[in-house]
Amino acid sequence: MRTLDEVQATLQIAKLNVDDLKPVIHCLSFGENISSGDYCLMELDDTLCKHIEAGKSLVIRGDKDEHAVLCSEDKTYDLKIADTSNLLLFIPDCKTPDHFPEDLPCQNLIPSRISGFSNCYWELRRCRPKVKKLKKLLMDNAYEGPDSENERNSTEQKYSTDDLLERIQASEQELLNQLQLIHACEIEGYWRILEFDYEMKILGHITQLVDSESWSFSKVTLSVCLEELGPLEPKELIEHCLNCYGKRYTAEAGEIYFSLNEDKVCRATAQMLLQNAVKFNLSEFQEVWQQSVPEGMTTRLDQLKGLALVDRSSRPETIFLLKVEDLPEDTQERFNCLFGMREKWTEEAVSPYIQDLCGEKQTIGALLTKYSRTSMQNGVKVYSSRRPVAT
Amino acid sequence: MWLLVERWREVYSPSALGDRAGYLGTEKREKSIFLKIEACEMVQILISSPEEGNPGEWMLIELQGEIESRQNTGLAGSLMGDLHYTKEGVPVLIVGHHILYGKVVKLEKPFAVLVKRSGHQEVDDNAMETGEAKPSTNYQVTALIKKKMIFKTRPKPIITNVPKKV
Repeated sequence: MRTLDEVQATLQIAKLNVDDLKPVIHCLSFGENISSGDYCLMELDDTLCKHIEAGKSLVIRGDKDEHAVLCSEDKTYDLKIADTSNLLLFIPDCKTPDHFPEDLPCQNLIPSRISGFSNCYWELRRCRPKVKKLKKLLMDNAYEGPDSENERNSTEQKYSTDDLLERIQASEQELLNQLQLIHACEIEGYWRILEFDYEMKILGHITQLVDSESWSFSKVTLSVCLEELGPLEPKELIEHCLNCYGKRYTAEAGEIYFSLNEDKVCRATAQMLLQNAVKFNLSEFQEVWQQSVPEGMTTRLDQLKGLALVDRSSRPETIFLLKVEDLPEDTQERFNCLFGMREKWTEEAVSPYIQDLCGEKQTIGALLTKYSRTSMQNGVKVYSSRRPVAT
Repeated sequence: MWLLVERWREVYSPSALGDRAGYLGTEKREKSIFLKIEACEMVQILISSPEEGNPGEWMLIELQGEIESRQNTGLAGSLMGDLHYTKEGVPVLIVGHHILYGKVVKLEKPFAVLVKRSGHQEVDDNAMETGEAKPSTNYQVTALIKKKMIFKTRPKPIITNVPKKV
């Protein structure tokens, strides 16, 4: 431990004037455990800083082949190590100059231990949660109904929320949002996806009931649905279906109703038709589609964004199933895939298939500028690949 | 699980104007190393906040170059230097035979100081019954760093032995 005399002697040799300095000196030394301490630095943004100060924790998630990500309760970040050529020392007891007044009666020595040093730190960048894996995991054991063969004999893996958090690189909130998006249902503590045909069967029961009761689509009574359809299918699934395809509300006297979403019902009906063939004649499809939806609902092509693609260059015009969730998750791979399918795209056609790639504050326009090349075709702006792609 | 390592280099230009190096900024040098951080199956590594209250605030000192101990005895326990402040609040560091002048800077992105803890994590109720425990790594936040003192100027040597004029 240095003494005041030693410090003053050093100052003299260094030709520094004591009068120019504040009378506080930190004598820095290296802590005993300096090399063995397993310290590392992690860069934070405002949100994360407040998160930590509130006592909340963070989790790093990743499979052996995946890049590590960091998750808070509702956000996901890419984790990288930034290596700097500078040396970073961290010192617990060291105060900044503004902490001390200019005049103190005498010089004060503050011994300060350097508890660690590093020349690298963890860098975090907000990213999209990697949830594509989720649907695949749940589809491996899709739910076909409580009486189905599969269900009774199944030894397939089932996943609870915690099980999913161990396998999916996403925060809990993002995971739950995605589960809702893909119409997953929690049955007996496990998340299940309904087999599509089964889901449509239940939806069909509901729309037939609406028809036979002469209800308006915006006033579907929950209790009647459960009573009338209960004998046919499990009540939780009837309610789940209503939640997926409608909006729940409570009216006078506490009665619960659902307002069916025309767009969602029409879209699901289209999927049911389109999945049976490679391509359809567009006008024939539109006719069959309109006839297949519940009476009173109107079909529109824009209901099929991200689900089907219309080919206006073929004679006759055709339509085929193309689900955005079946496309690659990585941005460059997604663009390669889309350009491999079709050389030139209009913004209108490609937007639904790249919307989910936009990061925070990123627009479709910015994404297109970065990953594609523009040109004009018949007076319309079209986008194509920046590099040669095999079609 | 893989972590991407990016190397950054502080770029200075030698200045003809004396001993003040011109600071040009940071330049990325290479970016291709992947560091394997956990070799086993999917893991969740927990980073927890301290058990009692707020994490404390530490100071960061950033220096260009490396520090070596003079007698090669290693750094642990040894003195590093004296940190002074001028009346205007400029930090002055005397390390060995050098004086460095620095600046107090508020960090745009604060740091969390993490301590690695290896321990045994009880996996779930079933595992507890059989006495099984997975050896696991987790981190704890020890402190936050919101400001740093950066010493960017070229260190000025202290001349202790001035030859007498004849």
